[in-house]
Amino acid sequence: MMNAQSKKPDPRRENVVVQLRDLTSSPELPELTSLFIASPLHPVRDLVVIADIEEISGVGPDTIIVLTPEASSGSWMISAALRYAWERRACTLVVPEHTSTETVVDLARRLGVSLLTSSTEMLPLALRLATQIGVARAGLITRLQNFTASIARTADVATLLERISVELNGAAVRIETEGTITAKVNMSASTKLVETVAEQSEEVSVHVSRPGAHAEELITSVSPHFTPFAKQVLSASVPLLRSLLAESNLADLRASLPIMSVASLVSSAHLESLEAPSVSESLLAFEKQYGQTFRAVCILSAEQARVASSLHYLWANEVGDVPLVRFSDGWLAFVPVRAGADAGLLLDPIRAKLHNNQHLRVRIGVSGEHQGVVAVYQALQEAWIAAQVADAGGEGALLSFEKLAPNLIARIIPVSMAQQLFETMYPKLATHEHVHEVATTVLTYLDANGSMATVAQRLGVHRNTVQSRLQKASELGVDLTKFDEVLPLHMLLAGIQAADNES
Amino acid sequence: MRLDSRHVAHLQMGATFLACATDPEWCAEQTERTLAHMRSHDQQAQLLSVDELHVDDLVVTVGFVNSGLPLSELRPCGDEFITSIRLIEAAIGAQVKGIMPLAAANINGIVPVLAAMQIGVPIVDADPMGRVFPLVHQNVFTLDQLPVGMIAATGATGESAVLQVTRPRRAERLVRALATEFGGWSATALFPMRAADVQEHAILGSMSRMIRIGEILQSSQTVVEKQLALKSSEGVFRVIRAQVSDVRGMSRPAVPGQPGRPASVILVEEGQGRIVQIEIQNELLMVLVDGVIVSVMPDIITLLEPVAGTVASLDDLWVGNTLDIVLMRGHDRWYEPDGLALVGQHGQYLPKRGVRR
Repeated sequence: MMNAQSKKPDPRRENVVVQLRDLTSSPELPELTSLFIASPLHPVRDLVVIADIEEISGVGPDTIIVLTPEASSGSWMISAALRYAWERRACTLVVPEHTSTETVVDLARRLGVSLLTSSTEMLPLALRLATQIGVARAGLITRLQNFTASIARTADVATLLERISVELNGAAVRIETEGTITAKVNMSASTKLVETVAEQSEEVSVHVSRPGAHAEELITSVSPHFTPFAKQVLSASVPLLRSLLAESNLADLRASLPIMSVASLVSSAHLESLEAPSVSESLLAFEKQYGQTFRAVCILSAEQARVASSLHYLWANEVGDVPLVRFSDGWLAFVPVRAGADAGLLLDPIRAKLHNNQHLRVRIGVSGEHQGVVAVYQALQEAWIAAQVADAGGEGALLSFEKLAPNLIARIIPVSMAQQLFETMYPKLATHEHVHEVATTVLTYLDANGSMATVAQRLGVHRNTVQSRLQKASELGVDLTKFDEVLPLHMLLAGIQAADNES
Repeated sequence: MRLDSRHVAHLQMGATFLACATDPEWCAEQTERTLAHMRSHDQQAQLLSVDELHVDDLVVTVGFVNSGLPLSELRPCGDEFITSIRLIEAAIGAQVKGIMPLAAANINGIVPVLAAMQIGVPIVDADPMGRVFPLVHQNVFTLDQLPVGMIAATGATGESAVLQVTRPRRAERLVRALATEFGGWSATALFPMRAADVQEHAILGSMSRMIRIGEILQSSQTVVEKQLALKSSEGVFRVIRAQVSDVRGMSRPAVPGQPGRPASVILVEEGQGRIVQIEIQNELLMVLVDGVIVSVMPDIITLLEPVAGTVASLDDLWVGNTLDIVLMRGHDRWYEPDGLALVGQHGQYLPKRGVRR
């Protein structure tokens, strides 16, 4: 029987949390009747027997309070005890059966304090409760041990995350690398425990990676009462998770070996002046793997370190098992495709993902269809050129080599020079108050090969407005009748627009 | 101050307000008996402060003491207090110069008016309780260890007895026993003392307070104005307005030898749904709101009708009825350790530390 004075929780027992449900569902306590359960997951850290109602003011949180008949002889005492229990964040109030009334249950519900009763004597009941708390605590340790033993046979990261989620009553579990989610398991409605009272969740995380490596964390969200146990479960999972991640990385590495060889060759050969190298063993392995039809994908980024994790995650989700290999300017991949299949099958999902991840700011180029190792470098050239011409970020960030031409003009003049050239060559237009409207109209006119209707439609204005603006451009020194000036003007305006898009 | 019929009506209202659960029938009867005497004899009682008496003037406390049975079974004929007072005078050998109520609430707050007119002495504006307590010895004279002295009790059938008692608890037991033997109640005169002792030990101003409270409650002001006036004048404030949802007859057993009728009433506040619990044992003992003890005896807890602003009785505690629960602080003497010990004896189940406000 424990003293009613408040005491600091034993740190040795802090991490091993018994829950109220461990007691209410215990077959060793059949005489315990639940009148109201606020939260079956409420932790139980202590038990006190109260013979004087005033002593409840000294009770600590997460305590089961057992009222003796003396302390519950009046219904007001139980009401006051409930209030004290709520103020002290106690777990549960246990009262003699004959003292419980509908009002008391209503008050327990209103205050969110669990209320139990029993027809047996309170002191022996308190002893049995204390015994069961000890049994449950021992059982919890066993539960952790059983969990650790059971996950030892887990073969992959996804299954391990699912096992963790099940152990944590269906909580969502995820792995974050450098702040980007690289693996996750969603909550399962069927496994989630339905609680009597809705609770806020609290995030629990443990480090997976070793110091100095990319920061990898295993994270979950559980109710505050559950955090100590959740931390124990996550910590128990870390060693296995670490080895599984290492295995996965090694497997990816092995799978990408032929391509890495190509990538290393590409890095050393400088893509802009590619020539087909002599066939080597690694290229023969590539032939074996990619003898079927494929498209090369080249991904360029000025911030490779920043986008690497997110890019890998996006790639794995959309393209699956095709490895993505680093080279000097970015990443390469060779994606097997069905001969003659629409390129959109490959490109559209990636394009949609890029639209939703504007922060990545990568440029992706995709080659045409090719077959066999002899086509590797041509494919790489196409993919690289397309990547060079693609926009940085947004839907235009993914460009197929087959649809290269419209983007090409905008990439011919370096964007850093475009504005300067424009101001030098067309000073009147550059300083006009409506320069943006006029220049956009001219560029659209040139893109539309002189179709006024097309220009009006693209800009969303009337034909007369288009005509008026072109007339203004002419007054400001833009002569669209001279063929030898049209192409440079087109390149210049396209370059300025490209600069505006990048900024 | 001469007490006219208005003052008597105010006195009745104030006495029921401070009763913490009055017997409205008997209070009304006593008031009617008093007013009838005033009309038939063209007489008015005089209310004096104690310092208007000579220091050696004999003052006696008067009041009904019942045995716990319903008080309305045997009605007084009206001269019982005369008998008891004359017995005291004969026993002491001195003439009574003033009388004061046994309790400044309930029927005993009204009793001195008629008795004073019948005997021809003034009412002293004082009393030994400052409110009503169920036991005779629960008064400030006991706290100050004054001897009980002579007690004279007269019953409904005219039987009477004179006692010489020293210890207050014995006085309670004996007078209670006499009340039982007399048929349920006795008109008792006790605590004979000098006016100087009244000045020093009694709770002063209690009669005039009842009149003030009654005057406010019977005014034509709105309920809100009345409650504000009570707050300003007497420190009364409303705890909560709630609707009765349950009435339970036995929340705990009565202490042997103590008046019975313990009950627990549950109300629910209409706005926020707070659960209100009132513990009753002959009077309103305690109020809890969502488990918090907001008031406990010796606080004076009263129920008011929210529409008319008049005093509600225990009979108004029916399911569905909405009531205002108001309270005011009792005399400071009762909040001292010995005072709490004395009045908490019958309420051994009451919290030791009082309210948590």
